[in-house]
Amino acid sequence: MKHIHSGKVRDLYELDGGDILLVASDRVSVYDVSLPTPVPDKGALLTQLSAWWFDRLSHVVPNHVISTTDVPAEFAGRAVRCKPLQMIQVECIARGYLVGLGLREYRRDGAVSGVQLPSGLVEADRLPEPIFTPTTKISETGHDEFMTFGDVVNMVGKETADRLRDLTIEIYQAGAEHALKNGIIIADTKLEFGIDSDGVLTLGDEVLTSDSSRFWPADEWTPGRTQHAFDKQYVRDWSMTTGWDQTPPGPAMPPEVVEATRQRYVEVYERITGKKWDDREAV
Amino acid sequence: MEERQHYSSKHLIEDVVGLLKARGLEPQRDPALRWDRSIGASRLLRGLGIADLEDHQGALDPDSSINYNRRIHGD
Repeated sequence: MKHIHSGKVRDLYELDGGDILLVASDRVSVYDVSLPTPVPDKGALLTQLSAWWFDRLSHVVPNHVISTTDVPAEFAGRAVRCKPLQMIQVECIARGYLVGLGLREYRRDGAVSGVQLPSGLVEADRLPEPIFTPTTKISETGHDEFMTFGDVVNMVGKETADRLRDLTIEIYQAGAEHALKNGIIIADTKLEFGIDSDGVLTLGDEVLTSDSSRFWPADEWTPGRTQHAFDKQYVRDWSMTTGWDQTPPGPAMPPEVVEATRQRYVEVYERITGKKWDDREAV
Repeated sequence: MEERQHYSSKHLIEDVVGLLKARGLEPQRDPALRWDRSIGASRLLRGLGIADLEDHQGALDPDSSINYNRRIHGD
């Protein structure tokens, strides 16, 4: 097993034979800083949630998952064995609500990533229909940049661009509809696609987790103000009480904050999958 | 995507910059023209029957969640 890359919250390995191993850690990042205190089970919760979505969405698009159980024992439960893909250099983002940098763009241009929106929308409003707002990671500045759909067509060709857009919207809509029935708004999500060894367009990375999406509690949704993230908000709010200046190193979390945060991740998993976290099969 | 050969447009840009320098030219990277370079490189590859794709080692981002929150939500 060859270690390829360590991130702030995940690690990447190449297994003998060429399969890829994505390992989620229990580390939590807030305001771009990884905190020193892990949240037990966070990596497993997000891995299992992503695996559940991959399975549920497998009729929409093939995915890169080979197994979540045939993994090295030390990573059991929080790792995914994946097919190696050649990745398309477009991050496919679907938005169902007006928030974040999209809101900033809308206030300036009345549009997000070239998609014109109705006037009069306020922060956190639900959009008339989900929109595709891709970014690219090939910027020479080292920062991802918003693209228009026309840019995507120019990069990958019209046929692939159409497919990326349609799949992204279909996956977001399916996920958002299911989550909303269970009290969670998925405001937006990021998907990554690649091409497998047979030339098939394939969904990679992770899907519809709270790391790759913005989750809000539906019963607290109030357009016109900032919404609170379902799981990370507790950590964010706590960190603001510590006097921390949001630069490294982050503050150590006390046990009660760790447990409360863990419970929020468990609640997201249980609401979406309909399964009890403590009842899962031992891995 | 029909093409089976692949190469990264990011690497192609670096290759071309190196080639032009070797020929005595001084390529400039005007930020305002970044899309001309990126899209131009992608289209050149596609025009040569080569897909603009990145190997997973360089493309999968273990910090994608952090980057996503920063990029999309500004935090």
